[in-house]
Amino acid sequence: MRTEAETMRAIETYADSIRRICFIHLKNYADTEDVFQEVFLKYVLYEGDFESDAHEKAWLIRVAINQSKDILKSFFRSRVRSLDDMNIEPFYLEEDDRQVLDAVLRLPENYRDAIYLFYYEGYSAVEIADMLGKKENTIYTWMSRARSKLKDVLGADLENEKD
Amino acid sequence: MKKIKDAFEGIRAEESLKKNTLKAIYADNKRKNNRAQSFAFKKAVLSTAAVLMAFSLVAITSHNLYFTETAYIDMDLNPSLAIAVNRFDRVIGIEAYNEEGEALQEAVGLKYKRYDDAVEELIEWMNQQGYLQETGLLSITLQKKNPADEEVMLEKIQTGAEIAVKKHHEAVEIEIFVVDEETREDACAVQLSPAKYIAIQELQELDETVSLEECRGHSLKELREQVNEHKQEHRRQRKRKGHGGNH
Repeated sequence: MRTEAETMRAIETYADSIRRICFIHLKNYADTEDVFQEVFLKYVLYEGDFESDAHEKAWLIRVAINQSKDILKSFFRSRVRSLDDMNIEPFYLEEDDRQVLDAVLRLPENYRDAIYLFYYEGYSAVEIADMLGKKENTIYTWMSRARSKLKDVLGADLENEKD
Repeated sequence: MKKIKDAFEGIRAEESLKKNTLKAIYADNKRKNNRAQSFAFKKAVLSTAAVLMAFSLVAITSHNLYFTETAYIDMDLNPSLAIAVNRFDRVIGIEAYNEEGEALQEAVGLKYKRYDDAVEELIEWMNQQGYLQETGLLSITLQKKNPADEEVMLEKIQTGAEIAVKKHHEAVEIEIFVVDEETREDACAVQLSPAKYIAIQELQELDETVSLEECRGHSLKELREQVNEHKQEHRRQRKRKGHGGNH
């Protein structure tokens, strides 16, 4: 079992990434707190060793994504929501940023993960495929469709992004 | 895409979230002998760790076993909310049906507590917030996926609820009953507790002009009173027809 000091370090290092995963998937702040606690509880109880910081981060992100999906799959029905439906909005967001995030949140769940992991966390499609347990081609398809949908909504030119 | 990167840059973990997470995982977990109200995270790490570590020797799906819902306890006083319970009798989820339920959900830390303790704590909080009135009606329903031990669970819920309620208000009415999965699913689909859903259905059978939405804001007690009034009116009408037929 990991020590409090180790857990504190992990929380300080990775909390923002986990928070963003929760933001992408969850409907309310109460669920975010639940997922946060469960992700780091799993971290505390995980008996394996991490090969590197990158490995540790990828593990936490994968757990957070799975935990977020599990909480939504539970019997309690989820409601349709947009950025405005969040019952807590502690972030100060510029209007442009709100529009972008709203557009991302309206994507299908899997596309959101791919977009976030690719454009924000900087993972490659191969790495994302490994993290999500999908085939590489699936990730490319999700990315392509997501970019198309985002382009329709935001009118942004995404043609020159790396794959 | 720079726009996406910039947009997500504004999303950060709140300091309170980080602090509460660490506190929740490593909180001290002494149980008070007099079962006085405590919203601290009692025994979460040690008990959860013990259960999870025991199961890690058994199956790779151990965490799924722990986080699988096996029963639901719905409470309706106004606040209205539901508790999901796992096979180890621990609370693993809470869902509010109304705004008051949401406030309660945010105020009371129930995760991983025993369900009967959770019921008591919820009632204590409701009393502190003034929801538990002397003439109120507290309705609790249980829906268990596997009916085995249903009676045991009902009895524990009843005992816990009665202890918590009677401490403050002798005259509060408590009802506890079992509902089937289909009824609960139908109720959840319209964001109502099963007890309230059943009461509204009963009212709609007596008065076709009544809509679900107009009933939603009423308390369960008000709905039951309306049902009784309609039943009495129906009885009066049948009685009048009976007298008329005797001429």
